[in-house]
Amino acid sequence: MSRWRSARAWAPALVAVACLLGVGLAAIDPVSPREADHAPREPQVSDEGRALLGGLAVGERIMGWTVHAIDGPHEGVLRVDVGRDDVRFALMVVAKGTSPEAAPVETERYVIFYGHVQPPETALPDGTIRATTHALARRIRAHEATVEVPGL
Amino acid sequence: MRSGSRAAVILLTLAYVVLAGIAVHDDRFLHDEGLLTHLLAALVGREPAATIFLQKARPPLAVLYAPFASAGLGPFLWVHVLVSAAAVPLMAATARQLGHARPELAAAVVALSPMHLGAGAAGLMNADAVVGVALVLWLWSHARWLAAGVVMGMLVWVRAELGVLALVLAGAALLERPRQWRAIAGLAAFPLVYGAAGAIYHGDVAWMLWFPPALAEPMADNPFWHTQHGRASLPEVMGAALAITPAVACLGAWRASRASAVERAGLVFVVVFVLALVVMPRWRVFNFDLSPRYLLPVLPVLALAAGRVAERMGAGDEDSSGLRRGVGLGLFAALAFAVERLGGGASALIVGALAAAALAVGGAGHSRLAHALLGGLLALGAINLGDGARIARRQHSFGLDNVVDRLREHPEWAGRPIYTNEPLLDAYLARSGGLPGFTVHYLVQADQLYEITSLSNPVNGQRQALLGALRHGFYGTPILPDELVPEGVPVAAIFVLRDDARLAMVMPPEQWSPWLRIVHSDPGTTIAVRREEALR
Repeated sequence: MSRWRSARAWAPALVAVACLLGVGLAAIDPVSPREADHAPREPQVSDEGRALLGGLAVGERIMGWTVHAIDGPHEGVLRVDVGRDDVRFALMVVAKGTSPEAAPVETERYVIFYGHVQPPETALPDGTIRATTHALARRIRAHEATVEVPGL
Repeated sequence: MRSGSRAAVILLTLAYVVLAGIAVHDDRFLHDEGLLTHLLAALVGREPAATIFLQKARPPLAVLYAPFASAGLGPFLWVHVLVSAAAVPLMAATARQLGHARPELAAAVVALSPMHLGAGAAGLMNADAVVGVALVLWLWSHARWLAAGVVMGMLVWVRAELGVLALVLAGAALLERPRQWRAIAGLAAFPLVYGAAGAIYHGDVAWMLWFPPALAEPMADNPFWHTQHGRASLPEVMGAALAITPAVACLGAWRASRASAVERAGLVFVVVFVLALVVMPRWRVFNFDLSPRYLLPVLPVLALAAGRVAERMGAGDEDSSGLRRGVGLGLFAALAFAVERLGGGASALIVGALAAAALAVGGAGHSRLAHALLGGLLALGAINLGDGARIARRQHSFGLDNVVDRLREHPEWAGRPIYTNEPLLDAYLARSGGLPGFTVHYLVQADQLYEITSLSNPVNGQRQALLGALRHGFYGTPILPDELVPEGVPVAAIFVLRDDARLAMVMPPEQWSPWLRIVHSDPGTTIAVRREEALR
């Protein structure tokens, strides 16, 4: 037992205990696992995010495209997935000044991008992007002055 | 070596072969870069000179595996596992030569490395690099400077990033008294002989500069690089380190004063090498991305360091070293805690706890229990910590099983040609054996063709010879970008297309959309059928 008084024993033992405390903390207060960044997540929109979009809900239609999912803000992006027939794409709302690319549409505080076209080689019908991004922008303009969205 | 040690090393080598062999059998690590190793070896048989004097072909490895390539992918992978296993006894012999009391400890670190197991089973050249580095260290530890230099000089043409170790070896040879010019001569031997022979083949003394081993910068407008930010996060680096070996957790207790000159020089290599590979992708130099497998060649050096720590876990030394040891372990624990808070999971904390516990009980005089804990940590790593390597098939081709299931759902498709940009599909269908009758045409991507053409010589016929040789197989039957037009594809042909930003460069949507009827659209993969006529 006296050997445990040696720093060669108790110093590493302290570290082991500290690591175990860290494991305990991880169990009590888990942080989203790294894989969650890559694996498909269940879409989830905050109340403020939905309010910014004028209460937009899954199943509603935007210029003939059905809303399949609304997600975010996640990593500074509020995402709306829309689809028609077998084609899907996403509209992404981000705060102005956070992305270097030129967006098709911008409002007072936000810009709207599009992407994630599925199937990947699909060409969207003419005017789709302009129509859907402007429709979403109209909703945002109506609420952006009064709705503050944390994380966006 | 003690008979107990020898038996342990034999058992560890067998354990490596069995574990990696099981992975070969179930295709867990089937990887496009591993298929590339096999392909390059096969090309030596088809066009020997054109392949050997293509620096991109990793000539020493292509020649080494050429005799086995024609036997097929399966036998090649088994040979690759056996070659990769050679690193285990090499490490034991090196550790013994460097004065390790328990050389089997370093061997165990290599044998149970999750990333080395995966890379060996996958056919990745990174596992060959581990064997090469282990061989260099063995020769270096025996003061065989000339041979160490020759092997090291050759290794740079296996993995170019190992140029860092070549520089460290050269520096060590010049710092040695008397100076070891033989090492410098050895380092120059392969480049000189290979370069001179290549000069005859290419008819150009400076051919190595005009046709380098890798593109100095990526193809312009390659969308692949638009998705690569090139910045490694702490959880990613920690995941890679644990996948190389969980023994990294105890390296904070390593002491340079108790290591040999070879081990100290090795640690210089590790620091420079890791820094270079973590930082270089930011500038996209030489096409390096953030694949963790590039870091694998540090394994032999880490194994020696871990072996040193493990053999000195006993209670014999003074207390001050115990405090230093605690601080070193504490540094890892702090990093592990940060990784967990950043969302990287608690694996590093568990590894840190086990490593610290091993050193604690060792410090209390229970050496056997300490070694058992360390062995448990290594075994746990081999089973559970491979994800950080990011070479498992389910990580990089996660839609493949789903594709095969979808194809099974359509017996009416049997016999139709499949066009795909999934490099594993042909090999996976062939190896799974469940779907005979399909001919897989691989859609060669624009950047792949650009690389082959940029790095080969059109004047002496090398480029044409290589392109001709690739016709016999390149992830299936290759279709070059300029050959791929809707009108040239049979009606009702199947398209299996994985999400890849580069696909639009060979299949522009405006040209192809009217011709394809989407049958299945799963996450990451789309299956379509070529229409009889384009939609108007």
